[in-house]
Amino acid sequence: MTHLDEGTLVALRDGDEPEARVTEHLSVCERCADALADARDRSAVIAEALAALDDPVDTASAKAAARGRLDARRGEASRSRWWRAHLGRAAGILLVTAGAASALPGSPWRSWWVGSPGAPTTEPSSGGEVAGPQSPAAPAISVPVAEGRMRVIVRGVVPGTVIDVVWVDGPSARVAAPSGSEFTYADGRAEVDVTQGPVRLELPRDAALTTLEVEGQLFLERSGSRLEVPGPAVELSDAGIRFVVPQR
Amino acid sequence: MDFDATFDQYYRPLVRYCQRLTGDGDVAEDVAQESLVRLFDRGVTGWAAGIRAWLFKTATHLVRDGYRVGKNRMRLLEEHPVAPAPAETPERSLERQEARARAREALAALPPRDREILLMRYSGFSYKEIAEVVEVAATSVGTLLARAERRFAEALTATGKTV
Repeated sequence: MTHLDEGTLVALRDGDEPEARVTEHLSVCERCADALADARDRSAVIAEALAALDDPVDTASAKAAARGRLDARRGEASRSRWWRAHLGRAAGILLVTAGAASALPGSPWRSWWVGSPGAPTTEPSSGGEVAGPQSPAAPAISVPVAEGRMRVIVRGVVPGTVIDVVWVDGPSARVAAPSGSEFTYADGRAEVDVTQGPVRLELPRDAALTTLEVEGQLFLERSGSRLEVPGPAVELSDAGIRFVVPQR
Repeated sequence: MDFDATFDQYYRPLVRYCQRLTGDGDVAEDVAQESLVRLFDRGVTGWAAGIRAWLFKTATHLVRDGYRVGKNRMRLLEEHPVAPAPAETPERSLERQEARARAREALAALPPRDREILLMRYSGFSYKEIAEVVEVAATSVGTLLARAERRFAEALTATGKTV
């Protein structure tokens, strides 16, 4: 006698319509009938074991959060489409105009065209004020201070990365990092995993306590007028600080 | 397709499935939300069974790919704090923790595909739906499920629970 295989028994238990030969076999084979009963018992025990993993689910809060996420994504997509359409057109007009003008001897466009400063660099500038290397289009988040505190954590930076800190008035910090960076934040705390490129941090001057940690190391701590800068600062002024991440 | 109705219908089972799959409630909530957000963001439409399969397939792939917990989770938790669970006795709490640890350990002992098949089955999916999500032939699901159940039961027994 050929007995029913495990798969057939489990499918049968789960409501599969049995073929005539299967029903016939079960009616005469005690072993397979027992195996089917065992499969049913096992199913109950497994269901109970898995239920232990479940926590209460708060659907209302999650729905509000998901709706916010969806709205944000649609907003980003809409802005992105707008910028692509308009910037593309504007850039085309500018290039054509500049190209034509630069052909004229003595044209100011010519020197601009030839001496373009190029893309932001990760090399620190030599002296001068701390200036944001970030283009205005770099993704950024704005995070409010919580209970007077602001903690900023930066990860994923490579040696040579410039981190500019600029002190600002107001109750919020702003973190800008290259496109593709990942931000995580809550009030009083911002974390960024950086893709290669410079980082600009605008930190509230008046927070009771502001800290910056980079790759697990404390780079600065400001508490009122007291400022400690254990990080690798290359420029320091009242306006801000420029760090360059050193070789490990 | 109505966002609220769809969310109400699918969010809870999705979280349960992801929680069982990952063992992490935060990741489970985030993956479930992300799956639903993608459903609407991409304008997926179809029959209810197809929507459900799409959602679970997306969630399964997000978990498989090690989906990074959402950028906004901390902020969202601040804005929408999860209500604390009702108080329970210390004994009951301990029992629950032990049962959870045993189930988690037994699940972790399964190969990923067995784990997915088992969890989908115990989330109420038909064999056809499981086949579609896990990408196996529908005729193989019974056999694969039986093997997954046997392995899970053995692992559970090894952790001290009689099956």
